[in-house]
Amino acid sequence: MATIDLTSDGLDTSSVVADKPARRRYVAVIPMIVWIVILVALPNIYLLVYSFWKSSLGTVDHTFTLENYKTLLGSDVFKLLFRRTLTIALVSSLLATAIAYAMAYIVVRRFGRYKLLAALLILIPLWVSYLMRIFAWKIILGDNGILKGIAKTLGLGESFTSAFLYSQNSVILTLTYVAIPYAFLSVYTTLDRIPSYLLEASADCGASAWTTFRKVVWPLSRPGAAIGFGIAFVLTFGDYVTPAMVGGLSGTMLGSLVLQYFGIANNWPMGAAVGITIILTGLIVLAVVSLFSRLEAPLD
Amino acid sequence: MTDMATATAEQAAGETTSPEVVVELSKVSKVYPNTTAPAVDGIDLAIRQGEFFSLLGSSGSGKTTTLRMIAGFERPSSGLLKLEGKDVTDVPPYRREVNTVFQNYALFPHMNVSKNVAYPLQMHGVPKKEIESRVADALEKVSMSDFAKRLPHQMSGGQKQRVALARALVGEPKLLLLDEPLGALDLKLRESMLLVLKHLQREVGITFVYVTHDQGEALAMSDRIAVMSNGRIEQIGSPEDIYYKPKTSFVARFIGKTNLLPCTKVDENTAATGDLKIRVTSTKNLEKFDLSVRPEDIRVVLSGVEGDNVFPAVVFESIFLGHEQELIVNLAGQRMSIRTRGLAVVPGDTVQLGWDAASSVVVRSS
Repeated sequence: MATIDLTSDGLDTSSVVADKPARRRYVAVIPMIVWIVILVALPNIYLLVYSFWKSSLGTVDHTFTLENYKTLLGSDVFKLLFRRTLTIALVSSLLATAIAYAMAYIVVRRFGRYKLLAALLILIPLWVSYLMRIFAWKIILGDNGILKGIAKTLGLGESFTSAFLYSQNSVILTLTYVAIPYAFLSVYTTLDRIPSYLLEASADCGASAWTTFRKVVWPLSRPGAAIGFGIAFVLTFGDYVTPAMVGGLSGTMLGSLVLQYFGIANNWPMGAAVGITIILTGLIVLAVVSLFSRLEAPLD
Repeated sequence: MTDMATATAEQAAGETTSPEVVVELSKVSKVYPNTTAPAVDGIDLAIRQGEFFSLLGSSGSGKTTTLRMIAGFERPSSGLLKLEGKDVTDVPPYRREVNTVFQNYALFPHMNVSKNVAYPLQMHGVPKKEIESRVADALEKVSMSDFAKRLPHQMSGGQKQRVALARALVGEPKLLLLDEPLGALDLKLRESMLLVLKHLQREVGITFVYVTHDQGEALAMSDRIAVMSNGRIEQIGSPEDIYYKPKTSFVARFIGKTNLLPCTKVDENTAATGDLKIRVTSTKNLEKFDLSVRPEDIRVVLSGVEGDNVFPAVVFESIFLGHEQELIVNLAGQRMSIRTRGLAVVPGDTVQLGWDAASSVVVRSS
């Protein structure tokens, strides 16, 4: 061919030895493939295989069976926990995404040159240990906690104050708090990429601030919100620390069940089966979310 | 200068004879937060109906800030801004009957061309049927009908600019603001878009306020030009006025090429720079001033030149430009640039320069 490849430099011999760059490309992706196989694919396959085995008297019977799943689907406890976990995760992810969206919008549009600082301040809690943050909520919500103290001095009754700790609401509240920084990160990056001249152009065309949000800002930032929601959901759906710490009995979630099966019950195949249901639910939600994360056109 | 403006206004409005003022700025200033120097420093401006008005200046001259205040994106720090006689200083942009063509087009990336153009009509509650036909008309005007279903990222810069223009014009605004609309286009495209803009303006008769740093664009397009510098207006006038009768040395230097000679007054018709005495038409009651002499107004021959001012000069450099020739000469210590054709000289030769008193324009030093 007479055309000259302008992208390759003069030293590149790729045009002479045709298969060399292709081979080089494979070499470059090998570390990534190894990483994914060892750290992502294999453990999950192992978990999947385990969920089709059976525990008999503490040892694992290596024969294929659907027993675990049948037991789970037949169990009212599992169904109750699944429904509750789904509700808690959906509600707290939605709340977290909504709050994170509002915060990101204000940071991007109102903080000017301090927006990076403000964003960092919102993300800083991530540096604190997860356990510490949940403990902080225990202090706020707990029996001798701040909220209860306020409620007492205001003379509110026991029925009101009992709602704070060891309930479904306290789990939702805490998980919402936990998920906000992650959702914020996703929304912030998309909102920050919408140039301000698009908002000016919309106002120039006669659109009020609200209409501009509806017609321009939201369609362009919806993918970020959807991905933020997806991350928040995956985080909250499988969580077991928060329900264990602030949930009490009425706040128990599927994650706690996994912990029990792998721990005290010493029934790994059953734990694996619960784990697989959690992963499957997460995948289904992510698949739905990905329908909303598609942007019709790239930003310039 | 009034003749030009009136002529265009008549073309546009048909029966209107006295051009009414569309935009009026009185003593408008803008100081941005955390800055001390004002971006716009107390300017007065009146733009007339149907006029093609240019704000010309280098970056930082305050021209874009002025435009953004008219659009409503910036609020003046002080002063009064009127649109069609009504005070709009505090009116938000979406309630102003003004549309803007942005330098970076600012098309909504998630809407196709026809939706982009329909947007302002939807905002003003125009019925759906009417929107369709008006969008089609607007796209027709900028020859973009075939691109109605394209998304912005599927088009070139020039095409996007045409769509942006259609979107700004479709609502038939009182006033169209253009913020360096050709700045992002290459030279060839810019020239063709210049023509599109000029014809469009004549056709639709809408007042255009055009911000540019390109003096060539401003001269070619405008009925009137305001030359801005450091947040102030140096001079307002027709392109001919600005070019041939600059009031300050800044304007003379900014518009086209010129030779500036620092002078002192000898008498009403004579200026002196060094030992040279130069004939002028009037020194305009200035004691110290600059003389602006355009390179093309100076005649140059080897001997026997005519003119009110005749001086010998030594050739420093001769540059062949194709359609003409630029001579750099030394005139009594002053370096002068001259445009001529077909003069066979080499550096060191002595030539004779000659220009008329009318060609030596007295300008205020700035």
